[in-house]
Amino acid sequence: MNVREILQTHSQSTTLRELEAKGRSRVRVINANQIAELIEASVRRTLAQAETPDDLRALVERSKAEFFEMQRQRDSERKAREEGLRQLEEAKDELVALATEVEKLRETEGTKTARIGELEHQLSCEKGRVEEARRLVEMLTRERDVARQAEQEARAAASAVKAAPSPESTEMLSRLAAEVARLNERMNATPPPPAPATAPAATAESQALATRLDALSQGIADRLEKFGRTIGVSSAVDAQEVKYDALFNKQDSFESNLNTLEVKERQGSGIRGALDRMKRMRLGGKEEPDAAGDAEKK
Amino acid sequence: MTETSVQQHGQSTAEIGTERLLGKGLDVGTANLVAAVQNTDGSITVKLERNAFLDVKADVYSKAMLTKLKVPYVVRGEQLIVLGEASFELANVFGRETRRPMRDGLISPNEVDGLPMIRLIIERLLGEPAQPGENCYFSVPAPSIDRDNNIIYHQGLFEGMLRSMGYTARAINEGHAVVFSELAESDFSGIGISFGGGMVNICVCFKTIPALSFSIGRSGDWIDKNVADVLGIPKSRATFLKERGVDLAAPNGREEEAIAIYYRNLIQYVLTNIKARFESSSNMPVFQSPVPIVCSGGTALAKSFITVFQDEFKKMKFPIPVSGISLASEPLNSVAKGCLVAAALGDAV
Repeated sequence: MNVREILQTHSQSTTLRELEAKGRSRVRVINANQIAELIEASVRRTLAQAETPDDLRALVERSKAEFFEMQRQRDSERKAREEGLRQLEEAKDELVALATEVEKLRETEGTKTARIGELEHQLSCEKGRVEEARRLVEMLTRERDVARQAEQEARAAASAVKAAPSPESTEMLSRLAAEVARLNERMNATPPPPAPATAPAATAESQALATRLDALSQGIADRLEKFGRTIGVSSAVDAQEVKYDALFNKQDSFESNLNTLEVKERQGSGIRGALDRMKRMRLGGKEEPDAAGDAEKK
Repeated sequence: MTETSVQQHGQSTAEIGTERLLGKGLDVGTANLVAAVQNTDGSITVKLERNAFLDVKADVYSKAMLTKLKVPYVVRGEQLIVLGEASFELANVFGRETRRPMRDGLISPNEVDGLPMIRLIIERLLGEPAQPGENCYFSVPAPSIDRDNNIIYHQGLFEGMLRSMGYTARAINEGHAVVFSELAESDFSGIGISFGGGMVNICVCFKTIPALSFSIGRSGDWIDKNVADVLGIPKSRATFLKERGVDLAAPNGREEEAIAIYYRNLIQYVLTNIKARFESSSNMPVFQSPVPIVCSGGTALAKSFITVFQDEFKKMKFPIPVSGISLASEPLNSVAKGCLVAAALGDAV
């Protein structure tokens, strides 16, 4: 058995800087040859205590077995440690990936929030335009009604004065005719009202906008939910408690002697003290000073 | 049912035999199943059975012998299945391993006959409910920090089992039950630790309210397995050697030496993990005064267990001020008693 080789296999090299980083400024050093000599001396002492060759052989065999067992355990511990380190590294990588995804989500969310603001502003402008068009249509409708009424009155007055025209009535008819002409001219000069065409367009656009906003919101929620699941946080509602009663609906019947045997019973110390104390605490009463003192959550 | 009447909330009635109050506590442990009921005189009655069984070939001679020896058995096909403590004793005589319905604190996925057998044992321990829907609180482990454990299935399974037996079944965390049973003097504030067969359950409690509960997937079975491996003996034999009584501070012989080594290693592992978990938890209560630690469970029964625990505790800087470390008054009954406290309080828990 080569002790130096085994020490080489089962040891690891490190630097002074790494030791310093672990807070170790001084270390004790032992030569591998010295270890080998110590082991040899110890083995010789032990062997010398064996009284018979059989004892000696048994001792050697046992020592070998124990040594190899220890070696095997150390190997398995080392493997477990390496596996743990590997898993830790994987976990770290996953953490970095998650952090990156969170950052991306934040950025995406920022961009989308800005776009939502822009679209809301456009929607608000469209609403203003629709309102203005509606007001214009109402005003023109009122003016047309007034013009029609004036025209009717003018015709009635003209037919009334046909029989006996006078200078006053002629003047009034001229004024009315002028007024009617002015109103007609204004109506003809006004461009066709945009409202009837704009309003449905604005409504369709606002609906499209609402749909897009909903889709956007759902997308963000879905992504956050997906991300949350990966880190064990989810808005999912817990399912109802699972019932396993059906497993016990059908009772197997066994031939047994259980009914003829009693289980041994033992008497234990009572729980009355605990019950009384708990009831008092629930009622808010306390007879003795609190052993634990007050506590608060971190 | 043999008990003709019971008493609850001060309503007393006469009864043939022992009078007792409503509510039962059940410790569903990997190694032992323990049931507790409260008597009207203030004492409690505890029934304990090993959570194990062993199959032997069914023949007339064996059956007659088991009957004569008053060994509980059931016949299943061509096999006689010996239940409880007797199965453990037989396994040691024949150099075999017992079959275990539970592993690592939960119902074992590898033992197909486990569920009907554990039900038979529980029925023997609990008997029928004193009245339909009597409260029965049973212990469940907390989520483990070092292995996957599906507590939902385990808990649901026992709830269903107890409901089918006529009880109103409610689960309580094992560590929490230890606090209920042992820490009344400190207003149920402190740390309850249950060293069971399959795992160690820890609960940090503040005035009856659990602030942090978790479990560690090593305990008595882990010691048995390792001792069996190094000594080259069956696990049941290692369990027997351990339970025969070992002074952890002064082991005698190679076998006890091995047991003491693994005990110390277990305690180190548990304390290191408890410390790490406490330090990493964001919702730990900040106790203004030191709080007690109480250890319970069958694995804590070894002589000098608390001495070794205290030795290892002194070697570390524990994140919570601790007023003292003690062993539960009845380590094996502690969880069942805590469950019984919860059952006696009823829905107020």
